[in-house]
Amino acid sequence: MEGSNPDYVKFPARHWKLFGTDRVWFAPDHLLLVVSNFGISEDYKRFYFKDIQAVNVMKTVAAKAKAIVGSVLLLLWAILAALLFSFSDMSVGGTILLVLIGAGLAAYVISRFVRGPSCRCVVYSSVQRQVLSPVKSIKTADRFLEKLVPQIEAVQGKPDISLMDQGENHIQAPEPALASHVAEKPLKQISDKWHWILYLGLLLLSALVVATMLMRSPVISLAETFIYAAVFIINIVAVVKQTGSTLPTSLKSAGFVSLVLMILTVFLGYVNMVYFMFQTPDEMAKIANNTWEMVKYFAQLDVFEYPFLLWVNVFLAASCAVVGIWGVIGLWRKEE
Amino acid sequence: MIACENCRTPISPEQINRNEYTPCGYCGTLLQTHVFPAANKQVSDEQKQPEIIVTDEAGCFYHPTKKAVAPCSSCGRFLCALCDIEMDGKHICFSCMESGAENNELDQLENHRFLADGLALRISFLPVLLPMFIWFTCITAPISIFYVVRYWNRTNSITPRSRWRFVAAFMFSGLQLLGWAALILMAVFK
Repeated sequence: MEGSNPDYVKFPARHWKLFGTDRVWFAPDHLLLVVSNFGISEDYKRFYFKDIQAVNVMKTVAAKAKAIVGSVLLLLWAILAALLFSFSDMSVGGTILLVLIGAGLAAYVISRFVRGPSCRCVVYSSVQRQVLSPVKSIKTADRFLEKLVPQIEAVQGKPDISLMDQGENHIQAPEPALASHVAEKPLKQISDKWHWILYLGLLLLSALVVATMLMRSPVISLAETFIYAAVFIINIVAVVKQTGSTLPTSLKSAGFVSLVLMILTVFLGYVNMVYFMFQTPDEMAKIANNTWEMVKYFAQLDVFEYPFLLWVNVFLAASCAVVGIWGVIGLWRKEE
Repeated sequence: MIACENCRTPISPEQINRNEYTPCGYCGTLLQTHVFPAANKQVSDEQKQPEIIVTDEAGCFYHPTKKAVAPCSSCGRFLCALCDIEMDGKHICFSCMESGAENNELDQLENHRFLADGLALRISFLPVLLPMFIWFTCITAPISIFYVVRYWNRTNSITPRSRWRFVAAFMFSGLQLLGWAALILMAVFK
């Protein structure tokens, strides 16, 4: 009981978590999933080769979404760095910090592209359905299946192809089996109108941000504020509706990414406000209690004179456009 | 039946065991599905309805009217097909399995372990990572060293695991204690 089993062979894949990693190990007769709890204890789940009924690998868009977000952040970092170098005298410490952030972002984006597409790997037995968190890229899944399938077939024998040719569902298993896993959680059908409004709203918002930057009109700025608030509310509704629905994963991911984007821009807005409070305390004190005056003040600012404000605007316009296009293309493809 | 992980649409037989990714018929998500003979395995008639004793055959300890098929490897009681649990080539009964799990005697049923090396390492490093908690090292360093000494000879994980965490925790905590000793000496001799 106290000893370790020397027969376990580590499968080279891991799922990083806060202070720990999940791993998969192969024993002569079973597969072991080790789930780490903050690195101070481990939970074990065993899947005996004789009991495994099916392995299902699904390609996901997580890697693509992360690569897009990383690339957008890298692009925005490059714009910010160019602006800071052009408009202000950077100290050595600031330059080093900027280069380190850029290098970190570039390394992240490169690693995303090297790893390739992501996936979710699920193992079914007669009594459980388990997602194998360490097997999360297609490359890893291919290596995993190459190793796992022959071991299962060595124990269970080859699947009977003739049963499949009969056109009947050859995996109709006795209770409790695969059917029970499917019946556990029925998915709901939803209308995609909220998502259409959300992604078109994001595209409109992107256009309004650019218009405000270039035209410096308080009316456009006010319209941008209202559209922003509306898109935020619609985004929350869309994310609630898409939970547990049959909507494609890419559209669900776009919904989540846009919600994160909305929250992030609220935070950046506050940072921007604090920045101006320190830069121009007298003017801000005059307009602090008058929202219309505040809208007019910010609308008439020349963003090209304030690198941080410019960066926030470029970030908002670019990211809204990217997520909006992503969502519209996804919905379009779904309709087709 | 097995279904698409995204939309729960049943996967068609043409998509199964193909060694390539094929799109789901409903949502288009790419899937690769392998199904094995265990999915077709039916519960044997013997397990569904253990055979009833007809003559003077041995009966199951738990179901006296049912025919025994094997003795328990642990307690020797006769078991019918329903009570017989096959584990690692041995036949055991429910009560032996339960007591084995409670007393941590069956490796196959062990599903949780405490990792003393992981705890020692985290206790040693975490206060240093957060500067405001650096003063706690005077307490955490001795605790970390205690865990290293106490659990050095005990195996932590059921999978092969080296002792580098113990070594790192011991060295780092030792350095922290040396630092505290130097601080105290400096204060005394000043």
